[in-house]
Amino acid sequence: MINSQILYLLIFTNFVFFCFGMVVCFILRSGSTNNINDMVSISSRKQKRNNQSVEKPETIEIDDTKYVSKINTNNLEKKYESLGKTKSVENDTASSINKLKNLKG
Amino acid sequence: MLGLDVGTSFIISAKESKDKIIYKDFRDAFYVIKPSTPIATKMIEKGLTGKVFIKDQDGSFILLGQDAIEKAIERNDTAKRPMYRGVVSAKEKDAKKVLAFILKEVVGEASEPGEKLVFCRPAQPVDQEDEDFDVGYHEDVVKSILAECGYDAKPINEAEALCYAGLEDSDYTGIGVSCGAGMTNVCVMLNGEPTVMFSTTKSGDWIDRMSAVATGEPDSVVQAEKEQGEYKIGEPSDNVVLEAVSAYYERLIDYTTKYLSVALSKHKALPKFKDPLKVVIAGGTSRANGYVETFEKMLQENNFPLPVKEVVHADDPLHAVAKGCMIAAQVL
Repeated sequence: MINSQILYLLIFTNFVFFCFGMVVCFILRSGSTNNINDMVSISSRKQKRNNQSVEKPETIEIDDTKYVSKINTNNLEKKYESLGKTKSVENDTASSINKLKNLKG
Repeated sequence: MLGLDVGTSFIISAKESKDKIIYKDFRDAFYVIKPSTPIATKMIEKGLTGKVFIKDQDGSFILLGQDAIEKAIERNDTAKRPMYRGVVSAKEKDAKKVLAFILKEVVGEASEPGEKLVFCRPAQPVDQEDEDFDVGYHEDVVKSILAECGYDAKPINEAEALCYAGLEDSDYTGIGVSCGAGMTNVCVMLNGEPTVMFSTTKSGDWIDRMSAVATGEPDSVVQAEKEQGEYKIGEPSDNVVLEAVSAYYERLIDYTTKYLSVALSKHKALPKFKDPLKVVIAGGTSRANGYVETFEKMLQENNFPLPVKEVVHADDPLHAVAKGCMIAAQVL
């Protein structure tokens, strides 16, 4: 009987210590995370001296549009006299241009 | 000030000269002949006398324009294009080089540094998501070529340019449909402001390809028959190629008008128009006999959501976009 009481007491004590340990661990861990975050937000001495604040950029995008390299046509030797057909017509665009200028302000 | 239509099939410039507009157009095609021996080089060069061609550093001959198409047909082959579906072709190795050469020859040097030039670009297609279709890259390539010639080049939408050339009598309110070789571009305009713009990737080249598959002829042969033969859309023809071309024209117009109806029915930015709209059609593909009549008929059959006053062909369908770009160069 006494042995079983001692056994229950030991289990209870172990459980209490385990819970206590858990609580302590949780507090210590959250404390260390705060410290790391604080370190990241520390601005540099140079910036402080220059009175500049560190601003987080919103979104940084890389320009991944296709690069246009120089197109060299100098090494192409022309072997003709004229290229293309030419057509000449009466210029009737004056009124169109005026109307559009008025519409677009 | 210059207007420039950089199209899949034609490159056309429009320049104001006193009381005239001077158009210069050139067929956007090339064909490469690579001689295997020095004797063959001399023979080929002699055979090409009188044709429009250039000689490359590696010794190959590049025929340009209509001569390229004719030579390709002669060799039972198909001419190449520096552009594909309205933008610089990613499939052709020599595309950028040939396009740069043709553009420089058509526009020439700017009369003064920074001369204003407006060129057209296609809208984003609604019927295809293709990584090769890169309007931004196309724009950058054309701009860099024109900058080398001394121009301050700005892009506008192809159908928007058509609206500037063809909607003056309706106070720049209506719809412009530019039917090129590679794409069909659409712009809905309200008082000079483009409100809705989109494109579809099926047009003249699609007709050539489908007819070529159906008849077993090369694309270049079909294209030549299509442009020179006599036929009317929707009517039977004794010529097998032209019969196929006519049938595919009907399917293309049906497809385009269906897309036009669906795209405008669902569009949230579509303004509420007071009056029925004028629809102006232009572009090389629209020059087929019966195109505008079939377009008007199918627009009604496919439940176009807006009231239409009239469907008209531009006065000069091949040069209308270049003219619109020239007008834009003076206004924008």
